[in-house]
Amino acid sequence: MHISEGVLSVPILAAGAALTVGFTAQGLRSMKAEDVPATGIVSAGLFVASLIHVSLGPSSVHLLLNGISGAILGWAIFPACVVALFLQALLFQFGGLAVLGVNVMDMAFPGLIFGALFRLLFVSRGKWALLLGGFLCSAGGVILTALMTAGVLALNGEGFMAAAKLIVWAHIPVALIEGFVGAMAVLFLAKVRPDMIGRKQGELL
Amino acid sequence: MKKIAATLALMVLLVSPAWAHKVCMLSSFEGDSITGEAYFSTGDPIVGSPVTVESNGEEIGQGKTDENGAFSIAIPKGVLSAKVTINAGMGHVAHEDIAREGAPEPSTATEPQAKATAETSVPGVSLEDVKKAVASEIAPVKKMVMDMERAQSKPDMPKILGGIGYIIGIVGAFMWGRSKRV
Repeated sequence: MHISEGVLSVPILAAGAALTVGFTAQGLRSMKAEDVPATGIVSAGLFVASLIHVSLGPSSVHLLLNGISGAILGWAIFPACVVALFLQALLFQFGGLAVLGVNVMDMAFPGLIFGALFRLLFVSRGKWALLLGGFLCSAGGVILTALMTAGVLALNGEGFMAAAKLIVWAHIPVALIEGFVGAMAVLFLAKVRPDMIGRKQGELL
Repeated sequence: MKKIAATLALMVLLVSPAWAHKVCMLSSFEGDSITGEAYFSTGDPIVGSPVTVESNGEEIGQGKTDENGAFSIAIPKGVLSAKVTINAGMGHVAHEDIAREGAPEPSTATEPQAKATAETSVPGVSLEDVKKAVASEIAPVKKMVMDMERAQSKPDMPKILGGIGYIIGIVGAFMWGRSKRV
């Protein structure tokens, strides 16, 4: 989900950049020294996820992994996303430097929300709650990202309903795939590193 | 450690068959029209997307890509440079600025020259025939250039590994900074 360079007007770009700076500062403040390696690994995951590509008729969509990233990192998803998207813009010319702020908000904010929901509602309620939560939050992250992207394009002048329909439809298969990936990832983490989703060893399974 | 290695290996395996998207376009002047091709960085053609042509800030033509991602848009005579824009939807847009390089515009400026060549040329061979012959001769070269552009627009393994390397470096720098402060 990358909006290209030269699509959005300057006020939208500025607003996106300002929000991203604020949220990233909060993310950096919240990070403890022991969170840094996890943030790096998630950042690498976000960086490669955009290369996992689902070909769908005329459009081209890819995995985001923002829901599961938010569940692991919380606020630190912002610095992770900034690094990942900056490198994608630089190395692959996906998105661009001027739209970096908007693209980071589109991706990291749903991750933050659904990650928090996951930790609040689904953790510590048994294996099935974990699987369901992993699925719903990963899929939800993708859908909210699609809606936010549509919203940004709408602010810029494209009709919201048309843009939203197109983007959400295109992302339903991605949401389903991500849901499965997210559920598997959560189960794996609960077994191996429950501290990464906020619990001590033995508390979850 | 083994698990991290396994995860990384899995990532690399997952990545190899499928690359993500960026809008790419190649276009050029051809007589009184602009022709070109649009595709995602995966190499898939962009089908049925609007293409517009602007010159000096004014729209002078528009069209759509066909099922192969190709487009051809008629433009008024006398246009020497243009900005071609493709909108593949969902915020995916690419621009290209093109100009008639070197060669002056065929229909107006070359008239006297065309007359001169017509006088000296072999009877029975018209300028149109020559143009067609040249076009068919350079078609394979054009295709080769397009294929090369396509190959270049895909993210390749060194860039992917380089990106991961940057991230490891940033993590290292960050941890180093934190450890010095304590």
